[in-house]
Amino acid sequence: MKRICIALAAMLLAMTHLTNALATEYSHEKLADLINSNEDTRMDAQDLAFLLVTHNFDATPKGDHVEVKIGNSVYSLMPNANKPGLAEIMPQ
Amino acid sequence: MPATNSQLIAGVCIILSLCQLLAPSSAEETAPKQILILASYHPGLAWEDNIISEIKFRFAMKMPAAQIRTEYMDTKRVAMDEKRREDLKEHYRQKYGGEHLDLIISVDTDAFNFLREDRDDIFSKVPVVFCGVVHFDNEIKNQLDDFTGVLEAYDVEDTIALMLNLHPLTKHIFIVNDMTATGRSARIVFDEIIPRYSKNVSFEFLENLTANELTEKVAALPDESLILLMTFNRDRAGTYLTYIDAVQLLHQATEAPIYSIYDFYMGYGIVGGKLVSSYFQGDEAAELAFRVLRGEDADEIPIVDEIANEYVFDYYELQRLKIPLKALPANSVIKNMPFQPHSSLVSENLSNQDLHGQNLSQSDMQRSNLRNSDLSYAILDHSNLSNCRMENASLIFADLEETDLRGSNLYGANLSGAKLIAANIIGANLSQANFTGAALSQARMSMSELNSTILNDTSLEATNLSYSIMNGATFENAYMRRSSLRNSSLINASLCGASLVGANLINADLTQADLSRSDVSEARISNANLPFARATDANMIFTNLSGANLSHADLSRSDLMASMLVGANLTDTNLSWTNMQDAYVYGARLVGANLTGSDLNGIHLNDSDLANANFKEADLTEASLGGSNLFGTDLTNARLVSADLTQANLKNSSMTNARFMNARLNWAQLDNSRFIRCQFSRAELFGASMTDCDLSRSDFTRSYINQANLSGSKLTETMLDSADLSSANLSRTDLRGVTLRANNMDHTNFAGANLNEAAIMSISCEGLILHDALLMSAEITKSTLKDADFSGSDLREADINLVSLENCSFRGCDMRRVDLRNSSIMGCDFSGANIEGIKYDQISLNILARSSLEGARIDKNLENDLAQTRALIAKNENGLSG
Repeated sequence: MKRICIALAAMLLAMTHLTNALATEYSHEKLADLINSNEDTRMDAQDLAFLLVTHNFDATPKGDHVEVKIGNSVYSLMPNANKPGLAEIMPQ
Repeated sequence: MPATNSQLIAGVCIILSLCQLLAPSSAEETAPKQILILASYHPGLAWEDNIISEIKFRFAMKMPAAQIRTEYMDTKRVAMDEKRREDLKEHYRQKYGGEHLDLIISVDTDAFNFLREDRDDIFSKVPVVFCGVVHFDNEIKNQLDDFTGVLEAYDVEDTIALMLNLHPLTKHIFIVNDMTATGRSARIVFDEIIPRYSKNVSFEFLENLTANELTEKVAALPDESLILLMTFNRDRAGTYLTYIDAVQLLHQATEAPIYSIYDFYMGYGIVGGKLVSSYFQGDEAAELAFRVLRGEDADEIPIVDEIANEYVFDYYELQRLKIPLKALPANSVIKNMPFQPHSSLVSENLSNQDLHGQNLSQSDMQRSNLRNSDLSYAILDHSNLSNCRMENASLIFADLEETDLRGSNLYGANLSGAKLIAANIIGANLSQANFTGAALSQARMSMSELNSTILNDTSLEATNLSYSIMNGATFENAYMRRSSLRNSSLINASLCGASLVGANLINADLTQADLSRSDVSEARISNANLPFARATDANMIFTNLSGANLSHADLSRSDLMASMLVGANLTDTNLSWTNMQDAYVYGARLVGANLTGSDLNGIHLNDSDLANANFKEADLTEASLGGSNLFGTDLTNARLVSADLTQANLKNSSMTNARFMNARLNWAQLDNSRFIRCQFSRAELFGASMTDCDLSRSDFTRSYINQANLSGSKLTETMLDSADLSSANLSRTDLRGVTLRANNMDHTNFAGANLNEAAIMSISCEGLILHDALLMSAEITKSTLKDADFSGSDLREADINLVSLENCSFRGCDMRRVDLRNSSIMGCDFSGANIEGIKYDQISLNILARSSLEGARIDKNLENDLAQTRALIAKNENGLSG
């Protein structure tokens, strides 16, 4: 019984660790997916930053563009009005 | 009291000043100038009398001390032969031989010729100023010594051109002339001019005739003939005729138009002409005389050979010959005009009259009949034209400033370009009238009739047109700022391109009116009637249209920013591609309205009825739609970011690709709607009703769906990451293949939902309801589920990995081939469940052995393992108790 309790405790610890690890799953590909799966010709930098933060990206509006940090990389996203997707993604 | 020094000095100064004032103004005044006027004719001849009168008048004004004597040569009545010439020389020699003269002024040709040849014999070298001389060549000019003067430079050519213009069918021109010196000089002038016109018109001189012969000739003139009267003072028989005799002789003998170049015939039967003025001759001669008398050498003073002759006409002759006033040259002088400023013409019948250009300023013409009259260019300012009949009158460019036209009938009148500033036109009939380009600013036109009236390009600034009937009237490009059209009727009126900034159109009837491209910004149009009106591309910024009826109207591409449309009727109105930013549309009716592509940022549409409206591509960012009815609306591609739709009714709507990011849809009714590929990130949907909706491929990341009812909805491929689904009803939803990650799902109801192949991960919740749900091949990982109800659900081949399931019910579940390895299933109820083929490890086996498995279907292997585990548990428990 003691062994079962120890095993359960270890399993719960692993679950907690995995849950917290969710925030680090976001990658350049996921960013591109999100940007390209939405259309909004009137979206400005603030709205775009809001959407990205909602989706767990580390995003900050900077005037007419949005700065997004993924790992050690920083991307600049410029809302692109009538073009497909929400913004142009450019590495800084 | 003795005077002081200063008083004495002041007194001396005053006396000196008075002396200066009383002294003659110039040296010439000290010795009066001696002037002789030598007139060619006799007293009583109007032409010469006028010249002499003007000369004397000028001397009386400028040189009153001058002594003027006049001698008449009487050449009109006594022929100027050699004997007569010698008699005159002798007479003047005797009379003036010892006299001192400073100047001689000769009047007309005979006196000039006499002085030119005989002055030195009679008057020594006295300088001469002449006037009234018709012809003058360089040879004569070179012979003159101490002569200057003014020529009688009449415009025969201009007069002939005028005659042919006014009578274009003319075939013959008869020139009446005599054989006097004046007549002979005129003949020289004509001989030069006539060849230029003789191609189309024949010229014939009626000269050297007796009066009777002339009468007979004139009486038998052919049709299309004109007469140009020069002078006819003495006939072939030597009979003298006055100017009046001559013109009356002609006028009585013929009805042919008679023209002349002399003003002395005016009023006795000539139509007119470019007339030489006797007063001008006298005036100019006097001015030249003053210069000579002040010491200038007469030879050094240029002869005046250009004079400003005027076109002068006799109104009665124009009327007799039916020559319209507008046919006359500009700036013509009309003599014998019956119409003058301040005229009293009350109740007069002036219909069909030619009053073109008449000056009737400040006249009283009330109740007059002016039907069909030509009042174009007439001056009628400040006149009283009230209650007049003016149907079809022409008032083109007439001056009617501050004129009283109350109650007048101007039906069909032409007032193009007329000036009607501040005119009183209350209660007038202006239907079918043409006001194109007229100035009507500040005019009072209330209670008038303007049906089908043309008011294009007019100025109607601050004009009062309230309570008027203007159906079918056109106001295209009219300037109507601050005008009042309150309670007026403008059915079918055209106000295209009109400027109505700040205008008052309250309660106006604009049914089917055309307001395209008009500027009605800041106008008050509340409670107006505009059904089926056209207002495309109109400027309606800050316009108040509250309570207005705009049903079926077309306002596409108009700018309605910050306009007021509270309670307005916009049923089936076309508002596509309009700008309605920050407009106030509370409680309005927009059923079936077309708002495609409109900019509705910040619009206030609370409590409005928008059922079946079309919002395709519309931008409703931060719009307020709380409590509004959007039943059946089309919001495809609409942007509703941060919009407020609290308690709105969006049932049966279509919202493909709509963006609701950060929007508030709390307690909104969205049942039976299509939300395909919609963006609901961070949106609030507390308590919203979304039953039987198609929400596939929409993004609900981090949205708040607490207590919302999504039962029966399709949520395939939706993104629900981190959404708050606590107490939400997702029963019977289609969630196949979705990922439920990091959601708050306390008491979320998935009863009967289809979660086949769904991924439920990183969830920590209590009271999750999944009874009768389909969870085949679902993946439930890294989660903690307490008191979850899986009863009756289909969990076949589900993967429950790294999950803590505490006090969960799996009663009656089909759990065949479920993988329970690495999970905790403490206190769960598996009674009646089918757990054949489940995958388990020692931990799950131990827990299963302690769980309720009453009635569960268990395969042989598990049954054996459970028996061994239970035996081991019993042994351990006995050992512990022992």
